[in-house]
Amino acid sequence: MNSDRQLKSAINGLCFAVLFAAMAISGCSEPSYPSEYSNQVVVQGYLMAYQPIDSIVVRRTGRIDEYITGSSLAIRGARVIVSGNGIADTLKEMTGFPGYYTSVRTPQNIIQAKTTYTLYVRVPDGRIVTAQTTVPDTFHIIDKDKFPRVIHYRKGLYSIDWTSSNTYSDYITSVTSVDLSVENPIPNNFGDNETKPNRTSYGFNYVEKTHAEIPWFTFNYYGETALSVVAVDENYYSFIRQLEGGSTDIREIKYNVNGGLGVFGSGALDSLHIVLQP
Amino acid sequence: MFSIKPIFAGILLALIIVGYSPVQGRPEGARATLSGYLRDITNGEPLPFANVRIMGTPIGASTNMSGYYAIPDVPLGNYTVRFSLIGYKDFTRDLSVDSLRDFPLNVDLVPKAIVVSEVVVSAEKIAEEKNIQTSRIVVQAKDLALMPAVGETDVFRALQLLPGVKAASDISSGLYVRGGGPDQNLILLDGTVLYNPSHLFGFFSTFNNDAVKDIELFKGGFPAEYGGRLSAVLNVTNKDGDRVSTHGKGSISLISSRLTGEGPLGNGSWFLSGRRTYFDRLVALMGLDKGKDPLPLYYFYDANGKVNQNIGDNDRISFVGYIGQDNLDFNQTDNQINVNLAWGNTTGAIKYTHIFTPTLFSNFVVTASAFKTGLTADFSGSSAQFENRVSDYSIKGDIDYYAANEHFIKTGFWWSQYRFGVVRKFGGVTYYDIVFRPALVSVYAQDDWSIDERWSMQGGLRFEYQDASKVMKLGPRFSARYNMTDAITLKAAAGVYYQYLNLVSNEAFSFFDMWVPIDKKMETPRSEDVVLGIETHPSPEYDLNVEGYYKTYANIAEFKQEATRAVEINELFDIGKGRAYGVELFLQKKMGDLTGYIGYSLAWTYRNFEAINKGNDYQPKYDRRHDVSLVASYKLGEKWKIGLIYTYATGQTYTQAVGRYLLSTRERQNDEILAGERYNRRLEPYYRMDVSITKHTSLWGVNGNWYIQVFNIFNHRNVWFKEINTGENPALITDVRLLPVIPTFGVDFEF
Repeated sequence: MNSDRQLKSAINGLCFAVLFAAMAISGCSEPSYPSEYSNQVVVQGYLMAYQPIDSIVVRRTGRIDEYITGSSLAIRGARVIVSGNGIADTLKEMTGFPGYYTSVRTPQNIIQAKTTYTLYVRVPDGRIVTAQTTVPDTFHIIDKDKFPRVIHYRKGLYSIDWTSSNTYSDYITSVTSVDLSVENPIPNNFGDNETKPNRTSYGFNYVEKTHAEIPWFTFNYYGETALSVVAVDENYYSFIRQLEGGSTDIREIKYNVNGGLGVFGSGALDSLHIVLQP
Repeated sequence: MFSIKPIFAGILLALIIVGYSPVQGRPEGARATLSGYLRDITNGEPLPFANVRIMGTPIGASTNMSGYYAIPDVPLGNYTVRFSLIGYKDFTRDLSVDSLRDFPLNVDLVPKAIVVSEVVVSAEKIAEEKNIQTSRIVVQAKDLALMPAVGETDVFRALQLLPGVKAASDISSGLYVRGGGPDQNLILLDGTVLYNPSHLFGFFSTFNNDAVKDIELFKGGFPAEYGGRLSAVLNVTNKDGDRVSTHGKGSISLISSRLTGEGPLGNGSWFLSGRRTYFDRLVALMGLDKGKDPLPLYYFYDANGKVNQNIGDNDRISFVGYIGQDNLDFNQTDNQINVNLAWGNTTGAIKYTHIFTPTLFSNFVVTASAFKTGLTADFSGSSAQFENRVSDYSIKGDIDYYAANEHFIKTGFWWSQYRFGVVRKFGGVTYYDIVFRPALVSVYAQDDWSIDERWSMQGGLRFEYQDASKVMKLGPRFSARYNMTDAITLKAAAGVYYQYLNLVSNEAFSFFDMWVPIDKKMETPRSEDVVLGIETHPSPEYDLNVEGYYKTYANIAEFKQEATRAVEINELFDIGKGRAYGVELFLQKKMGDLTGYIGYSLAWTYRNFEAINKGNDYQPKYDRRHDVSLVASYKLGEKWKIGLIYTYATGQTYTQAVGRYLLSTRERQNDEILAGERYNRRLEPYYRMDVSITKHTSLWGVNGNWYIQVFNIFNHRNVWFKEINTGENPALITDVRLLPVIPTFGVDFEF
């Protein structure tokens, strides 16, 4: 019995010793090893079927405590090439728009549907970023000509149908107020009258659908308005999809870009214009 | 990676070959068997986990979940049999076994108020209270009632104070057990699976403390009778109802009111308990649900019911039901916006118990469990609908066979037919309407083998087949106990576990939980664990347990936010692996005016996904290196009780914002954050103290308790997460903090 007690004390002592030794070894506060910020190249480009290249934007990332603007992050002097359909188009930096690179608009440089394009960017310090996109096929909004030109605003749904893009089946809709000459925001639109609403708002994602009910609250202004449908490629769709949703974590977006960050996507667009009146 | 499967196979084979030798060769019927039910004398409730011991011999048994026990092979002779359970007075009975026959012996135990002067605990009694399982904790509902809380005592919040069990935040009742997520826990309410055990977006669990009788938690090393989840098993048993007298009790707090009734019915009992919150009624009464900035109307309710009937001595049938619903309505008349969120569980079960022979006890259960979450919204004619549904129809059976004093064999089956449905509609367009209908079949067998007075082992095998993935899995389980001395026990356990469901969820917000089955393109999620433990009783008043564990996870899934045209289930997830290990200490004082425990865990949890963090290991949010909890209850005279909870934990991990960049779509400007290495920073340490004061009172013949509870008495606003505001330039990083000090009060009464 006496030996049992001794053994019991020994075991208890051992338990405490092991635990407190472990606590001491591991420390009471967790060491946090710093993440080193490293500047990365960010590219942004959207090719639209049967349109010239609008622009490819080349920027860098900024530190979290840095005051940033589009100009301050712009990377100038980059070599930017978009190649596809047998043509390698070397883009030129736009005057007055640092970091924006655009094509010399010739008929040969019109983006072709169902064609794969490669982006090559070499920035002055030697870093290279590449990405690839395949442009969706075109489609058209059904009965566009029969759509009433003038629509009186009401709270409800606006239906729109389109034909299928043969290559891709993901679509987004957008509503853009194109009459910038007048400030005529729609009042009581979700109660947001204190801040200036966006000129463009986009609707929901439509996977394998060719019909949308555009809700009234995506219209922010009276006047000339474009209703657009874009068939988007995987890169474009993935990016938009990742912008959705909320979390207490930082959103860590995954890109289909080698050597940097950003989106090199493509789409095919059709739109109709209406005049929205009270 | 280590594999313990071959070791298991060998051990199990040995158990099967060696194990049955004492039984073989005995003439049929040449035995005396002592068997019966243990019940609470005051209400007739069956008493699970109680001990029955034939004094002066190593022979004994424990009651099962139904309060039944059997001791076969009792030799001829005169004995004293002792029945014991913590919280009840021991009962002894002299028995003369003069022939080889059955000796039915039902016993009603008398509850006692546990005070120091009554503590007379022998070493022998301590030995008989030991269970072979490691990592198993049993909590009785009456112990929970003494814990301070925010308005409501909550089962999950109490469990989060145990070593090895962690919480995501103050406002989440999710259980993270030894490196596993909440979706990796099997949660059973009276044998029926619950798929979303939470109210108020995860703030409360679905369990009504007035209805709960016992809570059994396996943190690991769980036996073969449980399966289908990787991390833990929570087995909640509701009260059967008082078989002696009809009575009720109620409670009014700032959050909700509860009402419970129970009583005898025919040859059995009934039990009904319900609760409802009244935030919505208060808001409506004050007119705050109207106007330009209305408040939403929110409430939840739940109800538990049970009816039991004995049909003769050997048959019993129970009807069990649960319904719980959360509802949130938001109506803004200016813009004609109407939003309704509703979610809840509904379960029902019919349980049939039959005693074939005194040594052959069986339970057969038919269960149905449904979880539905739905959102309907109408924006002046623009309607949206979102709906998730999980239905689980199951039939299961368990047979307890008391083969010999050395062997307690348990076997059973479980067949489940699931239906998982997801619907998304906007306007008149249906975007998703997906239904999965997998089935899962499980069969298990396990043997508790008491080798001698010191050694006992349990070996088990669980076979599982899921038809959607067309996989058959065999999960071996093993545990062993060695009584080193009367007061020191060494324990070990190991097991292989599989899971056939994945949860798409947000840890901060449990409303949009979506369960998805694995399919044949996915490897079955699997975990293996090894647990070693020491249980000691330094004195009759104290228990000191220390456990160490090592656990691996394979083929676990993380929902891909960037999943695009996910036409296959496997495209929704990144697949990875993980490991967790640690040491846990649990020092409990069970008797006297001061009772409670100190729990401490030192733990490491890692995840590794090829597609996340460049394929490097990371430590998820619930990896807390140190976690200390102190739970104490002090009885001050006959009327007053003081409760205290103190918790301290290493801060959660988070991903640091290291940079930002501009990246727009064609439609909108966008400012993104550049994340550093995933979860490589920690928030400041978490600590909180809660206190409660309870006074027993009697007014107009009604007994009751007044209580005041103060949550977070130091008003230490722990950090929830770091918010990065890119609307500022440079970006502004602020700490979003959790709940401040919250005093609440209420009253419980019995009638």
